[in-house]
Amino acid sequence: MKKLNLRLIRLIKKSYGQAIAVITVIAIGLLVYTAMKMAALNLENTLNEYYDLTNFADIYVQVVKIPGNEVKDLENKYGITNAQGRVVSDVPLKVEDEEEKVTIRIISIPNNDERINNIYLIEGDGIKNKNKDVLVVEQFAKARNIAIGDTLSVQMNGKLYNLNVAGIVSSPEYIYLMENEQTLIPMPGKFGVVFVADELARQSFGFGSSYNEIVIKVKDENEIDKIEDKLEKVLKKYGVKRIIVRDNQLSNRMISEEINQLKNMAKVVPVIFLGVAALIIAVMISRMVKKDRVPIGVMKALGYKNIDIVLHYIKYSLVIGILGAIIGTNLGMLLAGAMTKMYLQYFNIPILKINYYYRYIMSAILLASIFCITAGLWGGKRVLKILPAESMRPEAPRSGKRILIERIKIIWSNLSFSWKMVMRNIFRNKKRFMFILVGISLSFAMLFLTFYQFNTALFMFENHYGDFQRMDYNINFSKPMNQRVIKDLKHLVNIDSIEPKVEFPFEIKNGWKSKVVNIIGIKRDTIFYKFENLNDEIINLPDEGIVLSENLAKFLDVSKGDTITINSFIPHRDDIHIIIKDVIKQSLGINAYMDIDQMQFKLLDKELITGAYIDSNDAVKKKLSNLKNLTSIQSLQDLQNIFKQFLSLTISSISILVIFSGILGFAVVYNSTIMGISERRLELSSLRVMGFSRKEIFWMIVKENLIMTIFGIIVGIPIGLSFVKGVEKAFSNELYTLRGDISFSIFLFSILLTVFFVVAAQLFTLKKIYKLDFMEALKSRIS
Amino acid sequence: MTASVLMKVENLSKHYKMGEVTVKALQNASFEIYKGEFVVILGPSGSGKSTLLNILGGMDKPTEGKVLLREQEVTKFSEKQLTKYRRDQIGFVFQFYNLMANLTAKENVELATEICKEPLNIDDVLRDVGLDERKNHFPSQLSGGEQQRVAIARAVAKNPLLLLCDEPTGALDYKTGIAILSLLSKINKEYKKTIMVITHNAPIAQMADRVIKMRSGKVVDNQINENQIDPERIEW
Repeated sequence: MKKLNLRLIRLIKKSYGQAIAVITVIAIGLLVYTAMKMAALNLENTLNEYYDLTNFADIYVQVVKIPGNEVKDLENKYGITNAQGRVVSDVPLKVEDEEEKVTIRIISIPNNDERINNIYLIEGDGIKNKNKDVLVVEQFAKARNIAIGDTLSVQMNGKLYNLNVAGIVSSPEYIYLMENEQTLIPMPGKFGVVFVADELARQSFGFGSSYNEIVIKVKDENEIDKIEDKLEKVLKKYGVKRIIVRDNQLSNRMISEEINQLKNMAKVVPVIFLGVAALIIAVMISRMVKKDRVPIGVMKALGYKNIDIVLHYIKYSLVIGILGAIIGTNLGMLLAGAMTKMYLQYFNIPILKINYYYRYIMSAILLASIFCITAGLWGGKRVLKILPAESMRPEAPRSGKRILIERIKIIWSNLSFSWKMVMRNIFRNKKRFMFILVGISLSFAMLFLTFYQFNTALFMFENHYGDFQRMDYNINFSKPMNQRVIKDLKHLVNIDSIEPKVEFPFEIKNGWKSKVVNIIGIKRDTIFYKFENLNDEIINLPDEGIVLSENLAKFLDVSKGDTITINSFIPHRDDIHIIIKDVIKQSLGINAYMDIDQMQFKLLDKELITGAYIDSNDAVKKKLSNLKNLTSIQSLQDLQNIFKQFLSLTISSISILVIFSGILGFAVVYNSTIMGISERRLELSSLRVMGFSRKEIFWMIVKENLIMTIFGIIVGIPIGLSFVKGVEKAFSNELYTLRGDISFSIFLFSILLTVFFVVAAQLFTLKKIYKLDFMEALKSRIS
Repeated sequence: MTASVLMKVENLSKHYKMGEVTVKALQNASFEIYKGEFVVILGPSGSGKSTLLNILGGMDKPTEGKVLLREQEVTKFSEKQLTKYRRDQIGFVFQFYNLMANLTAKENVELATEICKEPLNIDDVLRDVGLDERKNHFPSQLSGGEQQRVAIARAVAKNPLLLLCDEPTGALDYKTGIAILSLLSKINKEYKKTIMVITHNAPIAQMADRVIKMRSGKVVDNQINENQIDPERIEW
């Protein structure tokens, strides 16, 4: 082996602590890169494959009722290739625990094989007995321990049916099993989907030869929006309730967003980590070159070329980079596998398999190499300046300058000698100061962002369920009913308070911008909602006019005082124009709110309601479970419990991120301290000779680093805040608005953890200081 | 013995500009050395002898004048040619040995030989400098004298035309210093290497074939030493 390479290997061995620190930082960056990228690719590719396999629909049209032949007529018109009618209805499932409320969505599937949204049979035979057999969606079956041969008792149109489970299936429509936009997280035990034969559904729901939903495939996906507009007009007479295009289809959208988040993470995180690693390497090599002045001079005297010597140092960074890349990508692939498996808990894609895309390993290695070579060149450029003749002479002492703080006499004269040394050491070496500043501030900023995200998730949910919505139970009827039903409810359960509600989807338009949302009609002075406008004022609903959630107003580009158009899906209704009286804050979901009387008058029929809000300590679910025409009873308590479970999963990923961010700060502080010690061997040895104890020297270095940590945190705060802004922007969408309080505790936790990692790095350097042989250092001239 | 001229130095000057002042480190130095000679350049510190050595070794460039090694005009060499010149034709021995700390004695020698054209057998050279037993030790495990032996082996093994030694005994005690000088003398005789030693230590001149004396950047004396004595008999 070339002797220079041998020297390199021994160099790395000797400074293995530093090398490990840098390798870790690189490995983390590339681990995140590989894991996220591959998980995203795995999801995306199998998703597309699955959609192709199952002929995933492009458009869904929900109507009141449409005859089957009218559905067939749509084919080959307006760019539609295929249209298929189906019956979709949410019904309660009878379960043992009467307090529990379980909803299942019954979806009819046609008999032919060329189905749109074909189901994927996982277990069982499929439907044989068309009057009895059902296929159950896998997530739901698992959550409720439903097996083939089991009987499901459901109420359909008020009549009890005992259905036979003939198969367990997956559906491209319910990869992410969520009831609707308002639920936000899957509750596989509380909501399920079953598929039944066309005949059974039409009979039991009394549809005859008609359907209430159309699924459509189009020829050209770019035409979807046009076709949507067309359908809205053409199908108006059948009572179009809602048209959902592929991009907005709930399950598809949740997965697409997850994939996008993964891709974004795969872009940003590696750059931060590799950037810091490159910085550490550049500084390390520049220090090393400085320290190796004499050996470099000797090499030059022996006839080594500049390029040989520069390459020698670049190899050092390259070895570190490639080692980091190999470790990072390998762990990343493992993690990608684990992540993909984790996604399987949320996303049901039966064909999901874990592929390894080796070209991304190559690109990861290439990426690391580029960063490391650049860093190596930057750090090693000083080699060129070293003249062999000069390098043999001792270097001139560094110029001692007065630092700014010395001019402030009151402070300076009150500092003890060791503090004066600390101050001078910090401020004289500006490059090192900047280096540590960058490391600590980024570390702090990432910790800050992590805690913010955690806090926000918590805040959003607690704010929405508990502060914004304050009812114990939210009851929905399967069809609009007369207000009198409230009285019936009062008889059935022991109620503290009850209010009627109307919740119905409408298309809200402002010019060409439009959005289908649920408008909720409630009592003007409702006790079940707390509306807070953008000026933080608590408001009541107005007599006249409408109130929009912040994200809806933003989407439509309207504000208080503007007028919007509401387009009803109910046949023979004209559009109405209405003034926006206020815009309110809402963390989750997108809605509009009106006074119930006004809403009934203007948009529906007098006295019709679609549900009720209840406060009660009674066993509401049990007592109301047999009620006909009741689709769901949501209890706030349930939602909060489910969210807490969901949160415990998040906590583990949060703690991983915290550790990753901390390692960043650790690596920078550890490396700069080690470099500082070896560079200042002579200075520290002189202090030892003068009678300083090891402990005092250690404390001097700790003081230096702590002061720099304080500066790092000060610089890190604006960086962290800008990270938060960026994330708020990137992750807010129509379903939820990211808004968390940047509370004192976030600052406190981030600061504490930053300091913790800095102190940990210090403890690792303690050994080096204690091992410092000051006699040897003073007399040694061995390069 | 009709010795041929190995190196010719003509009117060599080196001026350093330090702010407003020009320091004349070397002024019009001229001399010739012959193949196989043991040359001692003698002078107090600041006399310009290190500057001279650096220029002869291709580590520095003069302000004026010429250095010729055989027919090649070293002072006209480009940076690249100088590197090659140092690699193939010159061997250096430094006052502070300057070994690579994390390479063993033998590896330090190999570091030098693996880039040059016709190196000598390393094991032979190491045996001849008396390090056969300790060649796998690291510099920190060797005494000063032993380290200097490694440095000499490193320079010799390259098989250079000229061996330049900058105060080779400067950091050593008397006894070890004498041993190093004996080694250099042995190399001069057995390997037939031209050796140039610069020192401020006057008694060393007694072992030289030729003594060049310098003072304040000028060559003040250049003589063949008629009464050459064995290094073992030198005292200081």
